[in-house]
Amino acid sequence: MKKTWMGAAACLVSGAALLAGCGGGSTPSSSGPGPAFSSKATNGGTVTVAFTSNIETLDPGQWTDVTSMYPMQQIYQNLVTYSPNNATIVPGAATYTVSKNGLTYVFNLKPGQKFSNGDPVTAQDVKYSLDRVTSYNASGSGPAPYGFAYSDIVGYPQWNNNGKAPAAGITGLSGVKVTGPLQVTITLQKPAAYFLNTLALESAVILDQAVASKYTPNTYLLHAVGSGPFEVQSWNRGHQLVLVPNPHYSGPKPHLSKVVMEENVAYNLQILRFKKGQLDMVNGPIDSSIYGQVLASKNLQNLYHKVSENGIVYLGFNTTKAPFNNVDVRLAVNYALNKALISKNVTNGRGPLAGQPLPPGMPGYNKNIKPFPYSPTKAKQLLAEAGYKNGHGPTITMIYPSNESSHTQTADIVQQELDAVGFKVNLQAMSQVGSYWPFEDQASNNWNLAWTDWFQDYPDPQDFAFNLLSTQAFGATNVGNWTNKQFESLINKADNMPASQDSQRWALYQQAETIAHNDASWAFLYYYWNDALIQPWIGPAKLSYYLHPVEQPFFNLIWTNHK
Amino acid sequence: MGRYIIRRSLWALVTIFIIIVVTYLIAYAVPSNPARIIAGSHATPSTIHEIDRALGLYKPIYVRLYDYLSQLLLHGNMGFDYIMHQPVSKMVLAAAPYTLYLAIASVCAELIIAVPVGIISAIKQYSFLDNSLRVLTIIGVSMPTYWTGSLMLLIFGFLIPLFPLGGVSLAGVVLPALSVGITGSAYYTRLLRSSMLEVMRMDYVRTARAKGLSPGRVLFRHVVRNALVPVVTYMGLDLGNLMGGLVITETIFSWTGLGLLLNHALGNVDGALIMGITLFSASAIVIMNVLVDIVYAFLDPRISYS
Repeated sequence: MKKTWMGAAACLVSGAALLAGCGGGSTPSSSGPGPAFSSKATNGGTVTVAFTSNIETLDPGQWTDVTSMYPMQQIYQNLVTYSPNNATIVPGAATYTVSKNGLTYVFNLKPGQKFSNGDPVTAQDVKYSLDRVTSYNASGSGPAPYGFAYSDIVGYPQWNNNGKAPAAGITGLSGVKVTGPLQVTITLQKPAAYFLNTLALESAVILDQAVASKYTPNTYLLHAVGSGPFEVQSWNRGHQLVLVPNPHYSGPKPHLSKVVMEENVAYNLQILRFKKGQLDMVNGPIDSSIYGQVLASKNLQNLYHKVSENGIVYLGFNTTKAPFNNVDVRLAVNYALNKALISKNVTNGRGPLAGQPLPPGMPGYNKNIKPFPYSPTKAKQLLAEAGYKNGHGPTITMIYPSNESSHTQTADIVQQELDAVGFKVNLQAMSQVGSYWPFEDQASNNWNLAWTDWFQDYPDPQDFAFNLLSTQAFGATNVGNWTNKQFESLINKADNMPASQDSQRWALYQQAETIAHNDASWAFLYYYWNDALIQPWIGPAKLSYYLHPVEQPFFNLIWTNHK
Repeated sequence: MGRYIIRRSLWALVTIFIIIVVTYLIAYAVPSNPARIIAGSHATPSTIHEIDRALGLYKPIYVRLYDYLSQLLLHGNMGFDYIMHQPVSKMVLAAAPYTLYLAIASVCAELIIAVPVGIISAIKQYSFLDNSLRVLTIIGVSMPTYWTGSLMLLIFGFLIPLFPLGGVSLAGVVLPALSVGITGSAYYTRLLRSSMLEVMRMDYVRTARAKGLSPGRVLFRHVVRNALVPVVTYMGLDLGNLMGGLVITETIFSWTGLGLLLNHALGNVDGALIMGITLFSASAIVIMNVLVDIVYAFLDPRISYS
């Protein structure tokens, strides 16, 4: 028997929904002093936003960065998507049913949907898109950075083949089948409660096969066509990308007649241009260099909004060798660090203190676990128990990426505080290597402590537990190869349960969190947050439209009354 | 003269070659793995090895250097940027005109400030005015560009909105050029001042005065014209330097030239792009040096290359 998951039932699928409450489109809480929004719905007008970086791509096979999500979310549609109100998965381009064993997903595309060039959206386009993003050469230079997200689909190992060309006769994911002109059936190798979340990622957007197959990924990105609410009007790479409404979009028409996304605008310029009314938003997290201006100005404070974010900053321990193969030494570090001071200096106190891997917005977060208190005395005592007596702690090397001043600042504080309890810390600055830097240096294994951070890929605890702490992520995203048998068996069990058993899953993750805390899997520092400045002429007053737990601003739902 | 030009150009090529080799070694000594950039944080070690194999990243560095050089020299291929997904040469050539525009505007700004100040300082040597102007130029040269730049934006972009708040445009060049000009004019001022003082002591100036020419005519026809020779030659070197050295100015003003591109490339440890920009900038400096040497001979007939 199959069950249609829609509306309230879909709440079970996604994590943060439980915390946010599934009742009535709850929004993340704002700590601002009741900022103003425009309540008058108006059609027409332009919204301008700016980024300090480049929009790297519009190709799902190349996508990795948050900046590119801004246009991609508007141009494309996914089979499923997030509710604009919270982190609940809702039908996107398709409605869906899931088999009871959690292995078979049937998607029925809503009829009459068209790409911005007028081509109809078909089941074959969906199949093509999923085959493309999981292929060994999806990015044009290798596999897609997010191709791994679909590794649970039947046939993935053969088709992706670890980045090598597949064997003859294998032409796509055998687990993705076109079962009707508008119907796609996906079969998984094992139940995966987070699977729908992966389909909502920018890597799983639906491409127009007729267009995408004409280009290589490196040239397609300049001809991107999707079935979302907006289409690309122009893109002068490195300067600005302009979106206008997609005339063929079958959903509700956007209020805005244009969205301008400016690239490479430094923070100092963003704040000046925002004050002049030339920018409609300053996107977060607001850089510390301009946050001071927000604090200093009553006007800006009224336009400031903050929400929590599913991300964490921590220090990974190299547990493959002494001294951090000893839990007492790992605990000593956790007690020796003044996390409140680090958060104050590095985030202006905006980052909440951490005591476990999962952030508070994530299901499975164990609210009974408190961050380790700051206690140099306790740290010294633990070091003594570990055999480092009379304040003669071990000499360790800490690596950190020096591409942002906040990382260097954190490393300096960590060095001071660990030195104070007897460690001798050598700091080694690293450059930001690729998207995840400590990995490369793990091979040489000459480090003990590594500054690391993680943002959710999707709001499911599996994203943290599996990627950061499982043995399967050894030598990769499990920085320092921490492991614990009990933890591993708990998360293995939880990761392989269908979404229908979410409440049991969350309980398993909560138990696992206790183990990670007690065994000091990391030195926990602080959680991420997200904040933004939004002009008062922007509406409606729905904070999640601008600061969503997963997505970027929903430009298709907002309006402007700027004269 | 012909032989000199050929010899000078050959040495310039040798210099550029050495720069390529040294930059290549430095860029690749920094731990950065293009395979990781391509495949992302989640990729398994076996996938990374596969990309390494496909791109030849496992080869010894001298083989890779040889590959790079042969691609560069035979095909003009500067490599591929895996972050922006386009050829490095395309990115460098797209950004270079903006930097050239800003560099020329900056040299103009430097001269607009430096020429009058230098002339006044020289003809009023050791006066209160001369001393004050010299102090001012020292202050100018001591102010970091990120500070003057931010100040310019605040005053002339925000408080008195005469110019746009950053970005590439015709009028948008004024503020970044001025902030480079304020810092860079100090050297021109000193150069012009000392050159003027030297020229003013020349016999032909005394002769001109003795012939009864008006002081203004002596100053502009005989002194300034001759004193400008070192300034003009320095302009060439300056222009070359600015082509490679506007990282901070371009970043503050969101001026999407080579400097801003380099800033991103360094932040991402994007080896191929760092190489490409360095190569381009270094070549600009070396070529301008050669041109200056050659032009110098035409400007100053006393100099002859043989």
